[in-house]
Amino acid sequence: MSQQLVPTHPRPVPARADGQAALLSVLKGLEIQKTLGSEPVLAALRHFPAQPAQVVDFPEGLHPKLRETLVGRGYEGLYSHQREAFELVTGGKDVVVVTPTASGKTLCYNLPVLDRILKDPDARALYLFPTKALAQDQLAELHAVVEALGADIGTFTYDGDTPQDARKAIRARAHVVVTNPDMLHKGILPHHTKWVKLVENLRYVVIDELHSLRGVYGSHVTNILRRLRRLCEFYGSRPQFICSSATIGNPRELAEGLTEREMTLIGESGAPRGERYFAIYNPPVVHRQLGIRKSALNSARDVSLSFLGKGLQTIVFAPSRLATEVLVTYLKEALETKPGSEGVIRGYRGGYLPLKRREIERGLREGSVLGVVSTNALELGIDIGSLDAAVLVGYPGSVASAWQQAGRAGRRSGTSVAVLIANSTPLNQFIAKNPDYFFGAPVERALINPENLQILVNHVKCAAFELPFVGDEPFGKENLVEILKYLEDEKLLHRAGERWHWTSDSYPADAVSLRSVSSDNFVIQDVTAEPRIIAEVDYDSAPSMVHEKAIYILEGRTYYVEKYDHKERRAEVREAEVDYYTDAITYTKVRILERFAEEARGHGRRNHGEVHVTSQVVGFKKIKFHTNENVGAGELTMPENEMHTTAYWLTVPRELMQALPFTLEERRDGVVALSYALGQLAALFLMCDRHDLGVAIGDNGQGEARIERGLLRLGVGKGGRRDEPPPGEDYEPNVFVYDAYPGGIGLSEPLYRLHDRLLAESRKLIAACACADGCPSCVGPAGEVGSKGKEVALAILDAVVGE
Amino acid sequence: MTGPTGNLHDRLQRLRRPAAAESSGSGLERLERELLGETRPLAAEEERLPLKVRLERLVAVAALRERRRGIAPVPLEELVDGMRVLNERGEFFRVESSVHLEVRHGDVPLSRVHAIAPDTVGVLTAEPELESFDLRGAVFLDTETTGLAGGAGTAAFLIGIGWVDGERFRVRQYFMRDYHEEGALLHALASELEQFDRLVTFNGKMFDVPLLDARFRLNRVRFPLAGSPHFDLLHPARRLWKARLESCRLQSLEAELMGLRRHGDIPGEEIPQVYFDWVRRRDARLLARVFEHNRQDIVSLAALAVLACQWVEEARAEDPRDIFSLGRVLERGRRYERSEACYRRALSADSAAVRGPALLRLGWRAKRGGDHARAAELWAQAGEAGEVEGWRELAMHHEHRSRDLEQALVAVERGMRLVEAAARDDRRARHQAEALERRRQRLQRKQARR
Repeated sequence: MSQQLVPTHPRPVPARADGQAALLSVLKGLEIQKTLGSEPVLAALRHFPAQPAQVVDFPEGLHPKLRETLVGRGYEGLYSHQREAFELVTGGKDVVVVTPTASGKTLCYNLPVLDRILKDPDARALYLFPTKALAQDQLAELHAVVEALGADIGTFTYDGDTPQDARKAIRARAHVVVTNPDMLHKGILPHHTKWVKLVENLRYVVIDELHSLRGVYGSHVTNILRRLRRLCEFYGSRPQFICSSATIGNPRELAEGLTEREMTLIGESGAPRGERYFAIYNPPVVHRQLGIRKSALNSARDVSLSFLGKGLQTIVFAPSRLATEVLVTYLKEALETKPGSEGVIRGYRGGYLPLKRREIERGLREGSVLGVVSTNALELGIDIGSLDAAVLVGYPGSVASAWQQAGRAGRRSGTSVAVLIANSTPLNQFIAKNPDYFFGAPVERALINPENLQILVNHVKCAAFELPFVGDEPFGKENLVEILKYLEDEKLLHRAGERWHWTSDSYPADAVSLRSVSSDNFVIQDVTAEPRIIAEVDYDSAPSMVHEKAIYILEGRTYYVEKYDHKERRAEVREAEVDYYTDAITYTKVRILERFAEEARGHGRRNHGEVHVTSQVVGFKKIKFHTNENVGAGELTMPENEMHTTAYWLTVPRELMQALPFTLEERRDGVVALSYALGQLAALFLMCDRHDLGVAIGDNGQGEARIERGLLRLGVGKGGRRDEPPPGEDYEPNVFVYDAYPGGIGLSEPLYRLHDRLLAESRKLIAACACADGCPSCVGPAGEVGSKGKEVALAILDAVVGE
Repeated sequence: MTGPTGNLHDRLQRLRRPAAAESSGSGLERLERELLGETRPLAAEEERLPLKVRLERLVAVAALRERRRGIAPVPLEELVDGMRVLNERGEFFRVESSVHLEVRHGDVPLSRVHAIAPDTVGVLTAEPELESFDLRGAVFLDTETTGLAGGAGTAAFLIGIGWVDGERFRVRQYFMRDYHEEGALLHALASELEQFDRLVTFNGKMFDVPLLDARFRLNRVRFPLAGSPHFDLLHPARRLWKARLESCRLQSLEAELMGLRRHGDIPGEEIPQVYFDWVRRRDARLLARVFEHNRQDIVSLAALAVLACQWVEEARAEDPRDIFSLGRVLERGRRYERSEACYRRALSADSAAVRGPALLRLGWRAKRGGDHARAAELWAQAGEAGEVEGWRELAMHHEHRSRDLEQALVAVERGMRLVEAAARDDRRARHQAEALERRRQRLQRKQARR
C-alpha cells in the first residue's frame, strides 16, 4: 500500500527464477489462444512502461528530528508528490492526493501531521479510514515512525474494539486518533464534551481511501463531516483536510463535496513504477446458439494456475464470498499436492477472524503465501506488499475498483500483469468488446448526494443532539429552517429563544446506519440432520432467494427451503435431490410522484423525478436444469417493501409502439428485453453497483405509471400481477431505472443526462451480440424475454433514436 | 451533483412515517387517553385497582374534561412555590425548601448527621481521598434529565442540591423553564457550589457528574466541584445490602430500609417526556410531581448517607446476609477486628447462605495473620459448607505449607466433586474445574517423583 518509514525487507520469493520472463511467457500463451470462430481470448492487452522515481530534497521547513529519522532510515529525499503535499499542507491548503498503490501516499499526511505535533505538542489530528483493519494497519506504521522519532506522540485507534477502560486515557493522551466514520458518527461526535481536547486543538483531518466514500456511504460521511466542522467551530478550531484517494475521475470534486472546502489536487506521483501489462480475457464461446461462454470462474482458475505454476505471486479477486471459496478449493487441489505445500494458497474475505487475516497479509508480504483468492476486501489499501499478477474474476463494477484491484500487482521495479476475466453479463461483454472504453475513456466520477433528504434530515437530528441549532447555520444546501420546523412538528426538536434543541429521550446516531446494506443477514440452517448454519444471505436478497419452496444451491448441492422466518431472519432448508431450480418473481410497482424534468429526445422521452416503489416477491417458477424448461410455478405472499426514491425513465410513445411490426405480446417482451440491457449499462456508466439500481416497467397510458413486472435481478420472469390485466394496444411503456435506496443517492439525475449515450450504447451492445435470440450478455436469455425479445428491443431503440 | 429538486416541504412530509400506534405518544397524552377511558384497562382489572387509585382517576378525568372544554394549562407558579432568578446570563426558576433535622425521614433521624465520625465515610467507601469526610460540609446533588442515554444531547433540566444548615436540611432546586435558561441556571449553580468542597450523590460518578460536566462545558461555565472528593452512595449501598435486597435503586432502598413509601411519585423513565411536554404545553401538573420527586430524592440521599454511616458505626445489621456484607465493607475499610466480629456473628446466625463465605473470609484473615493451622481448619469447614475456594485453599496449604500431597489431593478431589455438576453450564464453575484439574495433575506428578 504505502511506503513505510521502516523499509520492508526484501521478500524471499520462492522459486521464481526469472519473474519477467515467466510473466511474458504466460501472456504469450494467452495471446495465442483462440476460441470457436477464431476470436482470440485476449480481447485486449495493454502495456504501461516503467516510470523512474522523481526524488527531491527534503523540504526546508521539515522538523530536524523528522529529517534525521528519515535519513537514518535510508531516505535520500522524498518523492516529488510527498514534498508537494508537505509544502501545500504547511502552507495551509486542504489537499487531495491521488497517486497509485505503493507510491508512499501515507507519508503525504504523516509528514505534515508529525511535523506539526513536534512543533506544537498541543496539536491534534484525526485519521479516518473506511475500515477497522485499515486503521490497525495505519496505526502500526505510525507507531513505528513515532518510535523511531523517540518523541512523546500518542497515537491510538479508537473504534468499536477499543476497551472501555482505555477510552478515557485515549481521549486525554492521543495526539493522533485513528478511527472510522461509523465511530466518529456514533462514538465521538455525540460525546464531544469528552473530546474537547481533540476537537479544540484539531489541526488535521486525514481521510484515506477517499474513493470508497461514494454513494450512500459518502453522502452520510459528508454530513458527518458537517457535524464535525460544526463542533470545531464551536470549540474554535478549523482543521485542514488531507485526503488521499485511488484513481477516480473526480477526486477533487469528490473531496470538495465531502469536505465542503476548496481542495488542491496532487495528482502527479513521483514514485517509481515497474512496467505493467493489463489484459482483458474473454472466455471462449462454447455454445454459439445460446451465446454461452466458458464460465468466468473456470477461466479464472486456468489463468491463475498458469501464473501460479510458474511461481508468480498472484492475487485473484472473486466476485463473491462463495466464488472465493470455490476458487480456493480449485487452486488448492491443483497446487497443494506435495507435503509441506499446505497454505501456499489462501482465501481472504469478510468473515475471517482478524488474526487469520493478519497472518495471511504477513504471508503475502513475506512470500510464504503464493496465491490468495479474495473478495474486494483486499482491494483497499491493506499492506500485502506488491505481487506479480492480479486476476480479476469479472469486471468489479467500476473502473476505479478495476484499477485498484489491478494495482495489487505492481512492483516498484520489475514487471507485473493484471488480467480481467469477462463474465457473460452485458456489462462485462461491453467491456470486452469495447476495451477502449475501459482503458481510454475518462474514469467515472464518484457520486455523492449529501442532500438526500432522508440522509440529511437524519444528520440534522444528530447534529441537533450534539449542539442546539441556530436557524441560519450553514448545514447542507437545503433550507435548514424548514427542516428544523419539520423536526419540531415531529416533536424531536423544540425551539427556545434563538435555538432549536433536541427533545427526545433517544440517541439519534444509533438509529442512523451509514451503510445502505443492512447488516441484518438471514442465516440458512440445514435441518437435514443435526441443524447447522450453512450460509448467510443479505436482507434484501432473502425474500427472493430463500422464500418457502425455493431451491437453494450451495456448492453444487441443492436444498429445499422448508421455512422462511422473517422475524428471526432465518430460513430452514433440507437437502433434496431435485432436477430443477427456482426463480423468484418479484413484482415491482413504480408510481410517479413528481417530475423534476422531462424532455423529448429523438422519438422518445426522457424523464427524471421522484417515485414511489413497491416491490414484493409474489411467486416463483421452477426451471429444469440444463434445458431451462419452465416446469411449474407457485404463488407466494412475502413482505412488501416500500420506498420513495428518485428515478430516470424512458418513455416510448404509444404510436411508436403501435407501429412496430410485432404482436402485442412480442412488443411487451421487447420492452422487458430492453430494460434488461438498460439496467446493466446504466450501472456501468454510473460507476455503481448493479444492486444500487432498480429497474421496472410501467404503462404511461394508464395515467400514473402502472407496472407490469419487475426485473430486479437477472432472470426475473414474465409474471404480471395477478389482479391487473396486462397492458393492451394503447401500451405506452416507461422503463424506470431508479435509485435502490430510499430518497435516492443521486444516481438518476446523471442518468437523465446520459440518456442519449445510454440508448446508443445499448443499441450497439444488442446489435453487436452474436447470439440469436438474446442471451445474458445483451437482453437476457431468450427463455426469459421471448423469442423475439432481442429483435423488438433493437427495433424500439432504432425507432426511438430515430434512424 | 446538482442541487435537490422539488418542493422541500412536500418532500419532508413524505418522509413522515405512518401515524404512530396508540401506545406511543407523550406521557401526558397517554395518561389523558387512559383517564378518558380510551385505552381503558379491562373491567376486571379495573375492579382490582385500589379504591384510592380509582377515585384519583375519576378526579383526573373530571379535570381533563374541564380542560378539554378549554381551560388553560396550569402555570408552574401555581403548583410549585418558587421564584424567578435573574443574573447576567438570563433567567431561571428556583425552588427552596427545608426540613428540620429532627423530622424523621422515614425511620431515619437526619439529626444523626451531627454525630457521624469524620472517618466513617472512608471506611464505607475504602477510598483514600474520602478518609476524612464530614457530611455536614457536603452538598447532596441529584439531577433530572432529558434522557438516560447520555451524550451531548442530554440536558439536566432540574438540578437539586441539599446541605445541612445548622438544625435544618435545606434543598434548593434549579429549574430551566426552557432550554435557553440553562446558561443562567448553571451560572447561578456554579457560584452556589463554590461554598462546597465535597459532593454526595447516588450513582453520580457514572451519571450526574459526567453529565453536568458536559453541560458546564457546553455553556462555558466552570464546574466548581470537578475533581472534588465525591461520595457516591451507589456502590457502598450495593455492598451493604445487595445480598439481601433485590434492588438497590434509591427508591427501593428508601422503602426497604427507611420504611418510606412515596405517593403519586412519577417513574424515573417517564420524566424526560414530562419535561418535553412541559416545554411545549406549559402545563405544570405532571411537572410539579417531578419537583417533588427530585426533592424527595435529595432528602432520601442525605438520609441514606446517614443510615449507611450508622450501619458502619453501630454494626446495625441483623439479617445474617447483611451482617456478612457489613463484615466485607469493614474489611475493605481495614477495620479488621470489627470485620471478623461480623463474620463470626454471621456464622453464629446459622444461615446456610453466608456460612461458607464467612468461613472463607475468616480463613483468609487467619492466613493474613499468619495462623495457618487455624486457616486450614476454616477452609476445610468452608469446603464442607460447599465452597470450592475452601478446598482450593486447603489444597494449596497442604501442597506448599504442610507438604502433605495426599491431603492436598483429597482436597482437590472434594473440590472437583463440587464443581463438576455446575461446570457444564456455568462458565465460572468450568474455569474452577479446569484450574482444579491442572492442580490435580501437578500434584500427581509431584507425588510420582517422590
